[in-house]
Amino acid sequence: MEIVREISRGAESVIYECRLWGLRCILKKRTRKLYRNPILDSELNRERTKQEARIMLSSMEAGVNVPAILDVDLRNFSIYMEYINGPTVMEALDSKIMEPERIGQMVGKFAGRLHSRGLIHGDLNTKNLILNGNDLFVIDFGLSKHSFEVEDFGVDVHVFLRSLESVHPGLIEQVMKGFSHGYEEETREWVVIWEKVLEIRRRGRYVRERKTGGGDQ
Amino acid sequence: MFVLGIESTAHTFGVGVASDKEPYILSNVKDTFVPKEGGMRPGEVAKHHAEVAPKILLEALKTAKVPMSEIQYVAVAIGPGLGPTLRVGATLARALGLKYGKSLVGVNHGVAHIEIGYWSTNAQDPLVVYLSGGNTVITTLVKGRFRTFGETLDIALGNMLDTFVREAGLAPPYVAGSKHMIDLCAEEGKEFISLPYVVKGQDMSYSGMLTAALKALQDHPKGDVCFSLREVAFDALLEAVERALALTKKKELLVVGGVAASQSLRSKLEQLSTDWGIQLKVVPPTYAGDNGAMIAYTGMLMAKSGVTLDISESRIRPRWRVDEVDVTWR
Repeated sequence: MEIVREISRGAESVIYECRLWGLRCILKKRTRKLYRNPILDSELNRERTKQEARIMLSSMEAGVNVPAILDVDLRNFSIYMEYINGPTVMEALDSKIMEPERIGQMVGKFAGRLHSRGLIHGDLNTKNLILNGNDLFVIDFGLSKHSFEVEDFGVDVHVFLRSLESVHPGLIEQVMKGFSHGYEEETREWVVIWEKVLEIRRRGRYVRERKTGGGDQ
Repeated sequence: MFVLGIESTAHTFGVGVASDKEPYILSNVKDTFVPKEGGMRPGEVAKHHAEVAPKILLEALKTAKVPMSEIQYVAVAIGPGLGPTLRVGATLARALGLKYGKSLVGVNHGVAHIEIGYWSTNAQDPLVVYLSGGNTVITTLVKGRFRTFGETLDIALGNMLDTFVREAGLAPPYVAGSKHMIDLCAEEGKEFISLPYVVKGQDMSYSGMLTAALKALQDHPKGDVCFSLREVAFDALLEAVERALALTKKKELLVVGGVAASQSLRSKLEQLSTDWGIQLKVVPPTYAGDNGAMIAYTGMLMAKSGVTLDISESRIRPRWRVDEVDVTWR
């Protein structure tokens, strides 16, 4: 294995481009936190690496395109995966290489597939979706989890919608029209989920209605 | 301009005097209620405040060498906090306003913690972590408000630690010397015990951790539980802080509120700041806990930007969130 370059540095991991068995690959390595208790640190990093790899595998089995996992190294909290070429959905919507409604439909379909199997992506924004030719790939399962709660389904959709709002407000209607069709095809639950999304949004980025501590010291 | 500030949101009754020129803070007098046993009973605390109020007020004016006639505004923390104790401060403020013909300024207690933090550490554009008995909030100023990036979904970090040491028979008093009982007890800890670690996005949750720690007392030495609980609680907070740093790309981290005085938290924060190459700014102990000076200082900023409060509108707001305040003075 050879590291080619550092791509990005997030709050809990570093993403590298790598080469493994002659393949172009991605290495996602969770970093040790020096402030954290070392036992807790190892436990968290190991569990999260394992969890992420498992959910990626389940997603693939569900028929959702995700980077193929090449290797998991729990001792180094590392996942090696296939490098997916292509623009992110955010870039694709900018460059208009595909109909916004068609993109939305593919995203909705994959979201529905994940949800119907109790898989929550956790950070389904337009930067975590890559268009490889005509195929859509979902990446970064770092915040993913298992759940059958409508609230969690709703938050996934809400996060996607919010990422559209901040960058492509003009395309929301078309993208979400496609999204709803794709999601409905997979789940037959779109009406319920959309109602939940609206409820989540009424909380206004959780501003007003969230609980607040009464007392103070 | 001289502004009088009154703080009575929780266990501390404090009065301070601020000026709009150097040295800004002219006095900061307070008296904190310490229960003989158990926790704070709001009625009992309010009674304490009412009893000490006249003495604290006079002392604050005397130390500042500013007579009541020269005070232009009376600032008071009208929330968030405990209803009965908030009413003591609000009542005093209204009485002073009526008797001496002064305008009132209604200050948000959390915003005051943040403002005194900016002032005392000379912070410019920080990510703010506000930690106290009742609040655990990660926030930063965006378009005229301190927006919440993350917070506790149930009980506050300070409240959780206080409750634990009380239930474990270590408190009251909750603080000895300048150390919290959890830190004193943790010094005897050797082994790390696994406790529920909950971070959801940028939010934390502390109630499950508390229950598990209390249960762990049954078959682990107290020192080990204190040590583990403190590690897990602080580490969860720091992870949420890291996510907010990644999102906001801020180069300063400002820590305010009573829990900011904790040494063990500080060393973790120093490590995190080194890792991220950012500046750590911690409010000094004098202004970390609740105090009247921060209310006076924030009241001065607000009054200067024309934000005052009519006496007829000066109702207390026990659940007034930091992110509901329009920060017109920044």
